[in-house]
Amino acid sequence: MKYHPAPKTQGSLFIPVAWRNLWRNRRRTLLTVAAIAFGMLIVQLVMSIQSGSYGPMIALGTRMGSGHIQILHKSFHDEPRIEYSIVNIDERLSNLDNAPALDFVSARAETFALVSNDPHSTAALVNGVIPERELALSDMPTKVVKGSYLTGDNQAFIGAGLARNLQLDVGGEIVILGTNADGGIGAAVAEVSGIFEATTELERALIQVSLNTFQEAFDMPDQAHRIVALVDDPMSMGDGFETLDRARVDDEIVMDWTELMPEISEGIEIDIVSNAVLQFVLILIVVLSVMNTFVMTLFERTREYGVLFAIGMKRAFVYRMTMIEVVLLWLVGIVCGGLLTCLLVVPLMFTGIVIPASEDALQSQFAFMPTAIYPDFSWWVVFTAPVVIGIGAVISVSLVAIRLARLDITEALRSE
Amino acid sequence: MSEFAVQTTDVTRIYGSETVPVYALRGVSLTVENGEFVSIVGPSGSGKSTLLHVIGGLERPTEGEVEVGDTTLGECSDSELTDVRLYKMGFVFQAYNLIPVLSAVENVEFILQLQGISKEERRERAQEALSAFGLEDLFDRRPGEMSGGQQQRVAIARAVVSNPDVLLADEPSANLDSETTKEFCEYLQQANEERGVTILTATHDPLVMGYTKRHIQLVDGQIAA
Repeated sequence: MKYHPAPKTQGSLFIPVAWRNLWRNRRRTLLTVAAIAFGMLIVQLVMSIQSGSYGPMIALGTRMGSGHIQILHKSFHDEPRIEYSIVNIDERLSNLDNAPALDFVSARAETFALVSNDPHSTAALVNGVIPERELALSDMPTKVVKGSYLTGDNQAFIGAGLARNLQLDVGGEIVILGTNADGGIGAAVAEVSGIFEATTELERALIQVSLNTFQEAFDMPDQAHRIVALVDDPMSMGDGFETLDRARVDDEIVMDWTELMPEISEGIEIDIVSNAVLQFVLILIVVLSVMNTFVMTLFERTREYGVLFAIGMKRAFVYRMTMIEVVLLWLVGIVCGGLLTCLLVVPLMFTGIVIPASEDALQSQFAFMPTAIYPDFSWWVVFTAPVVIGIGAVISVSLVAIRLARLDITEALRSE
Repeated sequence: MSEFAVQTTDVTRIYGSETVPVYALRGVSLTVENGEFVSIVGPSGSGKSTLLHVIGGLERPTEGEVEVGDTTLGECSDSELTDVRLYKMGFVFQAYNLIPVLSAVENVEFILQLQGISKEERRERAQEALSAFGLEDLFDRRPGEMSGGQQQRVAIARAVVSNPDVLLADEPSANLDSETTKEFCEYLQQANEERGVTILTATHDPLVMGYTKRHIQLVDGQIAA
């Protein structure tokens, strides 16, 4: 004999049955809802903090002057010798200024040199920068504590530590002496225009002069060591990398911030992995909690399921009803989780989470650490936890439901 | 329409292993005519419930054949057996076995929903069935809010609402006092006489036997009389 399968009907009782079943053991359901809600809250909190912290970390790191992407001589990164320079700087900057994929470009030169204020002298890293472009590229001009940032040629912007060591003040003269590209002596005399405070290391060993001054001192006309660019989104880089790649010549390479500052990208990667493990464990606990609820349900309602099968309920319908139950439980959980997130995490987007250490201490020791983190809610952050919990719950409860669909009817009817 | 409602031919049901077989039924052959009200009687362990389960397609016989109307159950797949139970049979269990989260009317409606009947029709038929068993004031009560007798009447309403050919009742009076059992049997009789439902009930309650027109005596899995 053949009977047609029952067609779908309006006003299905499955949803009311599933909803009421959910609340038959109110305490257990509330505990499961709480597990989903708090699991979601914690995962969203961690993800939003992650998402909100990487941007400032990258910005702080790259705004020390490295930018997001650079063109440099192919040997300079591994062996930063003065002769590994790049040429035609003025023309190339002018061309790159109009590149739509780049927010900003500049050029920098650098070498180690002896700096002195008779009778004091020390070794320092001399940076040649384009002062009018530096404000957009780095935070150095904002770190002035005395005097002013570079306004022209033959000026020097030095760290407070270096100023102390050389007993220099604003208006004083500093002598720079080093080796130029052809092995001869390069020298310059510059007036201290300003003094900055930054990390201890930078304060003691960094001196900035204009690129023109650097080029004249070290005999590097229209040359520099890096063309530095900023892009809108340093995580994706957009077309910025390709743009610089097209602008380089044969003996040059293009590197992005992940290669230039591997300590930041590796730190982010380690953070992502360690948080992913935490999030996985949290979600697993939530999913197991949901699964446990349905395993208990199966044991408690075995006889009832036997009756449903006996009166002619298809096993697929029982599976469907169980799935409706888990989806309803999930919905209640994520609504509660969403409310908790709105109450507890969203306000932090505006107030920020202040890292409990003084700004000065952080700045002097951890140059790349922001002083406050503002959680960032992207679609990814909002939806990952509920979707993963939902999929996990459906899969785990499916295992229970499959077992349910295989129940022996007479054994189920005999169960207590 | 078939000449009989139920027919079993040499039905044997063995539980346990091949080395230690336990015979629940041994070559049971019987015929129940359309519209009969039959009791299957016998002591505990005589095979009454097993026989009802085999006739109801809840379990398959180890040997032999069961026919319900023009359907040979042995030829049906599991899914087809589910359809047979849904469309041709009604069940009344010892412990009522209503869905606790549904009201009386929803419990009766539920089986009609499984048959794909529209919301309006199934509500009308469910209310009609409950009213026929004197439950017109209890439509919205849940099982936990009803007495044992009232729950068993809802169970009958659920069993007959889809107009099954055969109603199987397994020890339906086991949890009822004598007064409620009498009332319950009168409702079963009403379903049998007014709706023409063939009823097989497994029982060892003399009060229930008194309402049935034929007794089939089972002893050690065999028909004794």
